Amino acid sequence: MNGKLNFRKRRAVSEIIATLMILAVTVAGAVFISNAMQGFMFPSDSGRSVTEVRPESVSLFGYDTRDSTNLSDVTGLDNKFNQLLLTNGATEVNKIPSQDGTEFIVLHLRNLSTNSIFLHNVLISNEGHSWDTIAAGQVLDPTFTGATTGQFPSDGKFSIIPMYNGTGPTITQIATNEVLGDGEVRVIIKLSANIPQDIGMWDSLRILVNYGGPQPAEYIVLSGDAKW
Amino acid sequence: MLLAIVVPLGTVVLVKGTTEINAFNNEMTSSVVFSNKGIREDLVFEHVRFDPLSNIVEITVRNTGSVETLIDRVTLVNMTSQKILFSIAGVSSVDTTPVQIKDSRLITINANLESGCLVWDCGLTTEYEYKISIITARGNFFDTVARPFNT
Repeated sequence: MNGKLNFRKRRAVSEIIATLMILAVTVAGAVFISNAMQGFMFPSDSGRSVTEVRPESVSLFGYDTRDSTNLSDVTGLDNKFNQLLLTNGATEVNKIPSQDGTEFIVLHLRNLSTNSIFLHNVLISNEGHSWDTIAAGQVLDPTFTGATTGQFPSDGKFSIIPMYNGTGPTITQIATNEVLGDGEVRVIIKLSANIPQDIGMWDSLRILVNYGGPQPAEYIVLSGDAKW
Repeated sequence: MLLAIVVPLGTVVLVKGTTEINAFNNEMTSSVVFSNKGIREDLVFEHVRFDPLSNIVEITVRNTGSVETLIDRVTLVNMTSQKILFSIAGVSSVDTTPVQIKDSRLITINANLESGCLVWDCGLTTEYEYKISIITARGNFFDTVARPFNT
């Protein structure tokens, strides 16, 4: 019977090709699944509040920790002259230094990176100072004598203002804690009353700035000093 | 079946591991670069002169680092009263040309004296100590303390 097919000696594809096809399908599936699982198994750091910027790229270009007037060239941003930066010695809450509230210091920060950073927290003497969202976007009025409602940062908080005063009579506190790449800002910090001891003049202050990076930027500054 | 499970998981771990290694390499590289930059820039105050007949302060600095340095800002603070006697507002710089390696530079500033004084040789002005701070364009600080007619 010449017309009878011999199925035992005919194969659809060779074993090698079949294996390669299985591998191709598997790898394609692997790529798809790995993309889907990337954020599930290992949460990624993407988001508006974190950055890959190195701490060395967040530079302290100046500061004003004087117990004096017009800190960082801001008219009315005055500390009460008593040779101390009052913290837990302050008797009033959320008031300016002349009304016996805690005192101010100002940091000049420059983002040397091309990516944005986000100023979340400033640690002074291991006491955290967070960004004051109530003051954000409001006109800075450091002469306001009542308890602040955004005219200046509250105790233990900070607000951000532009690097230069500009031509207008007022300075508006920046509405975001984002500092763009190659940007400069001034950070007005109202010292926390939880810092256990008032800060004397010419003491060293260790300042850590949490900017959303892998580790905080660290600076050592002198109280009673100004560089800007 | 085993292949289908191992390959996707292995790919995820491999990609993550590669990313972490790259990030670590970048971190090490940038740390070395930044620390080198910080070490190389160095300024020494050679002389500070308070002109008794004017409000001028003459500051001579020498670049003892291994890179040229641009002096961006100078601040003069009375250490007792905490008043700023000289600073620069706005974007302007003290100097426009960098100080070359081993070169020195004379910086002259006009202080806003306190207590109605117009010259350094006036009342208690000579009794105080003054902190002079220099900020370079790279953001490094250099400072010294001086008293009039004593340096």
